[in-house]
Amino acid sequence: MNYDQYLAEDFAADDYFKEWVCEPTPETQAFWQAFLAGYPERYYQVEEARRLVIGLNGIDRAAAVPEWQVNRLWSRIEESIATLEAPYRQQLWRRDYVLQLAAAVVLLLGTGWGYYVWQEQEKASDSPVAEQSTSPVWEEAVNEANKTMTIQLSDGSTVRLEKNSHLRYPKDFEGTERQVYLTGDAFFEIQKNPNRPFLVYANGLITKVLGTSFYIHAHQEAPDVTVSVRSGRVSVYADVPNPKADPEAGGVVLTPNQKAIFQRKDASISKSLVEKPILLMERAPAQLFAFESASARQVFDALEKAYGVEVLFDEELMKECQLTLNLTHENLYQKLEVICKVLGAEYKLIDGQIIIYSRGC
Amino acid sequence: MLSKSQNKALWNAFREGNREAFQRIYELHSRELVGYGYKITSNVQLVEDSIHDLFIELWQSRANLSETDSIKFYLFRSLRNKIQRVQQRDVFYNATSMDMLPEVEEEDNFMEQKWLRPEGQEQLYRQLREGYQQLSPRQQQAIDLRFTHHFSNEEIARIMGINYQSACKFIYSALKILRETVRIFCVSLLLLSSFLTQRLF
Repeated sequence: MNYDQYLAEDFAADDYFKEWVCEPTPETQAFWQAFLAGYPERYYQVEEARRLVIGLNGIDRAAAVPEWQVNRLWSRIEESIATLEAPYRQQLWRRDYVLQLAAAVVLLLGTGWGYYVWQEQEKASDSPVAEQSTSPVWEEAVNEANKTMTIQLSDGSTVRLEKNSHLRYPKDFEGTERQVYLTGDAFFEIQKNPNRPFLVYANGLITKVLGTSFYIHAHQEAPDVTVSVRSGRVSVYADVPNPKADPEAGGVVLTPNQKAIFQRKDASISKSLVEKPILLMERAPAQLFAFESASARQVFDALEKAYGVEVLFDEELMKECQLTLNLTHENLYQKLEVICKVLGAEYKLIDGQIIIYSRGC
Repeated sequence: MLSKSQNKALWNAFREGNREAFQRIYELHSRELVGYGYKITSNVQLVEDSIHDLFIELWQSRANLSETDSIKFYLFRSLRNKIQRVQQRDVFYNATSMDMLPEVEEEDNFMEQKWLRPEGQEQLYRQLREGYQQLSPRQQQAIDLRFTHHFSNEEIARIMGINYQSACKFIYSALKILRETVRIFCVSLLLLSSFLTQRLF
């Protein structure tokens, strides 16, 4: 390489030269310094070439391509792929129908001072959440009309905001979590994204969606907040500022038909069953609750399967018990009442589980 | 920028059907692909359609793709082929023109850079920009591929669908023109520095 004969354009066109200018290493640095020491008359050629390389790198036009353009294009690509793979997706859909079926429901019942609480949350800039929320552009929706307001979130989720409700959400979800702040009532339809959990902050309680479908019932003036799960999994934990430990570890994970009761005063969370457990199976077999000489195991298995609840009983003690009954039209609690009456047992709800007390048959 | 092994790993994950990897590839390269697309055609629709088709085909044929350690090269070359193929046969695309360009105006870009760059480099960029405008579209393309996207001459030739010598020639002739625009600047620097030297010693 006769670098000593090179002009600026030759240097600029040279790979080794360009490498030195763009990503210098000790080796290239040493080489070019030695070269300049040996051929000082090349200094201005080298300097010009260096400017060419740096300058041309700088007139990067790709930087002018706006974010929305590539985002829009990506949505289009995803849409096309979804259409192309439609049969495959439908299968998936049917398989986790229960999980996917209902979109996430967040219903926060608030009173007039909900807005005030939200503002307080705003001021609490020392909370780690507030720090994180400085980078994205935040949007605010306040619904003062009598109609429900529908808001489209950037991840494809939608929020139906009720009257006197307020939602604060980022224009684009950034980072590893999707976070929104809500006061009042709202219905969320959340896109499932296992890599980016969806978090709802309200009244000192964080509701984290692991699956897809849940329901929050939070009276602003009430001492507690309850979260009920329809389908999927939901993690609920206290919003403790600057926690030493992972706050989620102090929370509970709810499965369908379970609810959590959060005491705002001491931030304690207990688990229970919802008032009206629903059938988790979209189409339960007609004969599921038509028992004929069924064992206790068969009866309780049917309940567990249909409502996603856990039933604890002493199988040994109840091995003689038999049941011939049709309970298709009763709800879970009515079913339990009848079963217990027939078997001479009692039941209790403890920690989201059903405990059967029986003296045997 | 990803290293070669990272590139390989990402590509392989995508080939195995990893949707995240696929999206990552898009995120890494979409902006420069759009930018490069504008170098070949001023038709936004054509650029977007081609990138769209490119990624759809990529996803669909993922299992049949071979290994690569330069995803970027692969994408650039595919995009150029795509646009050119359409340009050659489709009158519709050829009929549409510059006014379809979105507001990617030179002016804004320029303003942005003014904020980001120190005062002294400003003149250099302005001059280079002027020189750049004098280049033919193919020269601009080659210069971009080399200095913005850091492809080798070999890769540039393959992306542009020309032979190696032609690629080198495009780049070299462009650099000669551009050099003239920075030369004045350098001469003034030279005068300044010699002036300073005289004053100092």
